[in-house]
Amino acid sequence: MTRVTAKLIRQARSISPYLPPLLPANRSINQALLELKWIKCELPKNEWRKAVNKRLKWVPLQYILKTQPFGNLNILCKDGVLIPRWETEEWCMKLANLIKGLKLEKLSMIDACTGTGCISLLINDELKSTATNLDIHGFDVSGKAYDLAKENNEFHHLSVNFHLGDVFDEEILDKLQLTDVNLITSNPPYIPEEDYNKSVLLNGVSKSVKLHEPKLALVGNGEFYYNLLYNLVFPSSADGFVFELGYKEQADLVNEVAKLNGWRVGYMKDSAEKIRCVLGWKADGKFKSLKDLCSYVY
Amino acid sequence: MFKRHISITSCLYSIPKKNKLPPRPKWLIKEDEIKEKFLKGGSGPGGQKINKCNSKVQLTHIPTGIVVTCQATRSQQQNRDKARELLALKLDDLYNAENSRNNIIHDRQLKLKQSKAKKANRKYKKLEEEKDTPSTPEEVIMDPDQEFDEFIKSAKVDV
Repeated sequence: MTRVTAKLIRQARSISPYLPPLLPANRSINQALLELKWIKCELPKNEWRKAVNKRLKWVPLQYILKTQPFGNLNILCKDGVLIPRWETEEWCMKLANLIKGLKLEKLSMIDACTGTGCISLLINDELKSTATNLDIHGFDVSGKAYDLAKENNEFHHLSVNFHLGDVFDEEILDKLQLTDVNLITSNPPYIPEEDYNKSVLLNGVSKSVKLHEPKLALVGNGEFYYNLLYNLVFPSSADGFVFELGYKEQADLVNEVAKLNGWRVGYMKDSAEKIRCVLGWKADGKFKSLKDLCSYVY
Repeated sequence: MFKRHISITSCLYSIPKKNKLPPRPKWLIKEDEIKEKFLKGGSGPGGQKINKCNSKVQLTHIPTGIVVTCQATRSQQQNRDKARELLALKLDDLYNAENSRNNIIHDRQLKLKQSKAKKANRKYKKLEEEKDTPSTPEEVIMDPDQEFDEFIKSAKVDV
């Protein structure tokens, strides 16, 4: 990426002394002004200088402000745990509305690779005022994520049960002692190693993400979907699954594996017209209306 | 019966109270008449690869073609609500230009400013007048005997 020009820096300095450090991450004065406004709104005055200097080192704004809005929740964010993305928020809201419309008697859900716990917490928050009985669980392999998810649960006064667990563990369902499950969701790491090292211009990872967000939560590929299906979806009594992804090949893989086991599969695009989710349902199950969310059904 | 007298002018030119303003015209928003778009700025990779904090919401009112955008907060939900409020105010301006909330708020601010200026003018005029007419010290009337005594005292002459 090109360097920030001296002219732009001078211009920024004439507006506010806090503005120039925000330029490298934002590229434009308007965008930087917006970030400065949020910093000024959410932090006390004596921390502004520190905050803009952190931003100069490409620390994500969410780690500086310590939160990320997610639906109606304000998810706490900490170093070492992936920040919830707007795409996840989007499909989660759609899923929550769909579940609301189903008027289920009981929803028992597992959220694998939960991170901050955002998916399970949002579904819990959206459905807590309905008649549906909720039994929502989330697990993550990272201790930091597990602690943060529990903190988020207490912070929002919700009732999600979080556990430490690994999707690659074949006995994960027994270990969690969960057999009666309707729905499985996950936002596993889905960036292939070769794309992780590319520049953002070549469909790679942005600098701020590469420098400060955990690689554990980012780099992965087909093996995650394979294990999600074989360790969680097939052995449980689940009727539906929703997994976030970034590549069509990953959706194709899920389709190939799940079709053999009697599942219907489709994928969903986000509002930026990028493939974002793979959804699966049993043809005669409770979640057959997941089909309505799909942009394409295999 | 006690009758309250209200003059027409005071009714016309009185400043409306802040809690007596017309309500926000939320009823003008019909969800099927608007097109909502979320602008994330630029193409390029999405999902886990990039981490955007802004969530700009753009609303297009199909019957009139009015477009509003909002990216005031980091929360998409709040931006959506704010954009709807903005659009409602704009439609209100269009449908009843005279008595729209925006207009009344604008008028109120103008009147407040005017009345403030009036008060300030009055105050400084008063101060100016006081300056122009310097107060003359009151003349003390004394009888001649007392005056003589005081003169003697102050003169300190040995008798």
